[in-house]
Amino acid sequence: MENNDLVTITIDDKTLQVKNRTTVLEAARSAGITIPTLCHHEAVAASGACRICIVEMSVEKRGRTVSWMDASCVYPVHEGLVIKTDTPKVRKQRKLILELLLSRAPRSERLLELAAEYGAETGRFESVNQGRENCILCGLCEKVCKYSIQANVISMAFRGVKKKVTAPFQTGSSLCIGCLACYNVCPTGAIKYVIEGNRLKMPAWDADVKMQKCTECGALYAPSEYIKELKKKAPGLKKDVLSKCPACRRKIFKAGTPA
Amino acid sequence: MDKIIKKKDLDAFKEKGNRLLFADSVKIAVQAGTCGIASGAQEIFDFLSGQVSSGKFVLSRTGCIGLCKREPMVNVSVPGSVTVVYADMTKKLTEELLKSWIKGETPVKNSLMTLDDALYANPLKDLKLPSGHAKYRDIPFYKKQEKIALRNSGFINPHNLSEYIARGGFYTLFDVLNGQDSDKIIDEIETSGLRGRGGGGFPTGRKWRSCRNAKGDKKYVICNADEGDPGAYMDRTVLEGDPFSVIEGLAIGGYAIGANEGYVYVRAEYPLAVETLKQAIETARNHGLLGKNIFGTDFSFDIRINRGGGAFVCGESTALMASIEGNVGEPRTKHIHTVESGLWEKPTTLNNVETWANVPAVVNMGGSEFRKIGTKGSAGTKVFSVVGDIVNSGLVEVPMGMTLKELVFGVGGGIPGNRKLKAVQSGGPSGGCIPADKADIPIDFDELVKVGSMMGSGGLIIMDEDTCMVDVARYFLSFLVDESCGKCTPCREGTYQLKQILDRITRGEGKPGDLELIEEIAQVTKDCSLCALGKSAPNPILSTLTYFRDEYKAHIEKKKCPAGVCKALITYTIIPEACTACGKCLKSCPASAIEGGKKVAHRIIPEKCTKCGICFDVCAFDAVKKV
Amino acid sequence: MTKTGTDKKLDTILKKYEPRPDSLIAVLQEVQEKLHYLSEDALKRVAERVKVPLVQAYSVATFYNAFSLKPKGKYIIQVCLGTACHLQNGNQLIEELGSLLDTEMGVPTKDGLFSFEAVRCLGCCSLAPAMMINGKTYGNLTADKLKKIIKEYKAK
Repeated sequence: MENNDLVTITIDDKTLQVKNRTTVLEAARSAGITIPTLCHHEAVAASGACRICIVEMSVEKRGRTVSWMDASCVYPVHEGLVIKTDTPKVRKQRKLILELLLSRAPRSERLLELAAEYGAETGRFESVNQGRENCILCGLCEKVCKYSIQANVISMAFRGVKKKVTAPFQTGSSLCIGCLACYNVCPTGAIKYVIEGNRLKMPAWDADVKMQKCTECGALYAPSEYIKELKKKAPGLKKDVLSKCPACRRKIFKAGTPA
Repeated sequence: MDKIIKKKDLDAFKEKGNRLLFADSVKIAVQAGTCGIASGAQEIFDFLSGQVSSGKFVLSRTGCIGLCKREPMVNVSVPGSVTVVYADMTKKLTEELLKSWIKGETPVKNSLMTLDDALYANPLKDLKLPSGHAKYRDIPFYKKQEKIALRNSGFINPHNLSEYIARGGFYTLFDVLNGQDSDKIIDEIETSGLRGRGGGGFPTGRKWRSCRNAKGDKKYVICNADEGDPGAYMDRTVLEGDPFSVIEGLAIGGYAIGANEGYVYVRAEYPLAVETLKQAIETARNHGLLGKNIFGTDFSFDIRINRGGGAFVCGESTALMASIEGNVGEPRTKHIHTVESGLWEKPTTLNNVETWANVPAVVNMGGSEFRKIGTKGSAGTKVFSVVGDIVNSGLVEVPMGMTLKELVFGVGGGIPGNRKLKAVQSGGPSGGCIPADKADIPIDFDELVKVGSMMGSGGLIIMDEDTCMVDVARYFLSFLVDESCGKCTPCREGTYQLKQILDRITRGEGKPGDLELIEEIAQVTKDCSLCALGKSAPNPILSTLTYFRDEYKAHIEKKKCPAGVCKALITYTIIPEACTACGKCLKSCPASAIEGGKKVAHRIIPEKCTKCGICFDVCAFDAVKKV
Repeated sequence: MTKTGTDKKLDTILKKYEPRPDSLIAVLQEVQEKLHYLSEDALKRVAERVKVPLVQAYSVATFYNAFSLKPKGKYIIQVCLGTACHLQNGNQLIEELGSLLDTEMGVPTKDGLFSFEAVRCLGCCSLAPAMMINGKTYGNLTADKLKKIIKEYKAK
């Protein structure tokens, strides 16, 4: 069977046809069914790390129903797959996964929101304070930095319960361009930044980069190194467009001088 | 270097090999595997090396023949006679016996047995059986063994290609490359019912067929020698004792699926295995058995070695491939199978050492012959390392279907000191503990799963009544916490929290509700983890909870460790009436926690005692009590 | 500037391997073996040589047990904590070594001669408890035997 062929699947009693090998998560979303996710982001390949999106699945095999649990973000659909996204078992497992994550990131707003939804309690487990506060090691920041931006500032170091996201040697990295992709994809708010004077600082990796002034209005609008990268990646743009802050750019566009 | 191209080249090596195996002079081969060397084999070998210039004997080395408990072992053959295996050897004994050996005599002192079995027969002529020695099949340890994967280990010189060829080696590859099409080989493997010996037990033939049929310009075969289960060393022994069988297996597999490159991923903790394999690959390459146009055919194939970096998770196939690629060993989901997209996203067939060592034998004897050995669902034999509280600890290869009881009490010789068997742990950290009253189950992939354990790679830890099952579960959990890659939540956090709870319980801080909480976490870890490591991580704890729940309860409710293992829950005292004031415990105590004097009964100072148990072990009068 | 001995050793190692990402682990293993640890500088140079970003080399160097970012002793004692050794009280050896060498796990002795660590199964289960010193295996260990072995290495 090729990947463009359609297969028939059932999600929460709705029968639908989807392309072979799309993920269960994509199929569910296309049917308007919400499955919670944390480590999933369209910008990078799904890794199935956090497991919050687990669902119950089953198939009929030789007259017998075989069922199992798996992460919907990575499981590819196939003909005859029956998926249940919100059974008592699914809710129970998600509750425990949330409790495990809360032992590491007890103050994450997103986790607390989900905890309320699933009745997860805090404090049933010993707290794990190995990494950064609120970091659940989902890996999104590492992936956008490596694959999307290709800046290679941070990565996962160590393993198991001692795993953490860090720049090499756990000190600052001169490679950070301040693009804030990591900040933007982080599901638990574990990555923070501040702007002090004309510097953008990310305490998480000790990054400290210079902000650029808009050539039009003089406002500090983005890190200089980041702008340089953008210019490299979008050579088709008129050079000075990126040298202006978004507000000034909009003005130019409105005035009818597109880049 | 002589290239081996035609059958007559193989025949020439075979003749040479037989001359080496069954020499015209006195031949002494020291069994020098890792455990042999650690027991003193190197010292014996070095001594013999110093004597060899006398010209009165030839010296060789071989791998381990399995009975590790009796090492060091030395194989001695005098012209025209069957080889005698000497056990529990020392340099001094060797010096003494050498005087007889060079005279063509084989005294019975320290003799274990003769290698008179058909497996070790001289194909050219009948050999005389030296009198007074036990025969191979008289030894309970060997009586019911059937060796396929271990066919050469402890008999041939692992560095010598001609000895391997003399045992029929590389003839199978020759026949395969000259005239068999790859489908036919896969048919044979499928017919044989061979299942992967590394843990999962996936049908080897089906794996090969899928890989053969997968689209790809390049394909790979991999030998998983990252034998990580603690208590398991089957693969190490095969690599140290018979590396060419793995090379030949890989080449046959490569031809069958259409791969020209093979990788062996081997643990760095096995330096001798790495070295032996490295030399064997080099030798095979020099003789044209690896490289371009093997046996003058169109088939080219070569093998690279990758050493592991000390990460148990790399035994998992996708993590292993990531590691070969130069990355951290994190598994990925296997919804797209590695046979379609494995190493460098190319179709890849991965099997473990024992499976690959089986391949030439299976193809040689034919699938249906192999199928006759073992059980319906589990064909063939399986190598086990039988260790722990067992008389004959060592490496055995038995037909599938033998009961655990037979293996422990027959082959293994039972529990030392006539103590009672408590449980058998199989399958490493992914397996479970099988209680003594279930020991009559047959050894079979599916039967072991039914009792909450698994075959795994073949480590069997025998535990007597002095073993605390809570401590065993805690041991495996702490292993898994250290070895979890940390990618997915249930394995990373779940195993950690499970271990924290077990730590508390063994410290005497267990609480009501702990067992239920353990079961809750275990269920999620089992159902929701990403890879097999996490999914099976709760097995040691779940199986002990099923069969030994009372022991957990004793720790939690009564704060007692019934087996007397958990330090926080035991105290040592000296019974004054039984103490003879011999001073032995006092001198041995590393914490200086024992006081007393001449003719004064000794006393343990509780505040200083670290509960190491040395006093208990050294007391000859049973005066130290553990409560 | 003249190159130090360490630099030269590193050069020799780097030259031996193909400059491609899948050489990373093998190069790091050899650097670890020859220089006893992976210094910041060594890691950077290895990454550069095999053409991987430093972050990847750092991930790998901290993921695998075989690598150490801090110096190890000249003699590395690996105490086996496989199942059979655990049941034979292999943990006791760790405690003994600590007091014998007056250091803790992973920290080299002051003279830089020894460091000790725990490993998971050396595959010598019939000889439990066992340990390995720079590739050489010792079995059936007792406190006395351990003392003797350490003494031998000190005298080397």
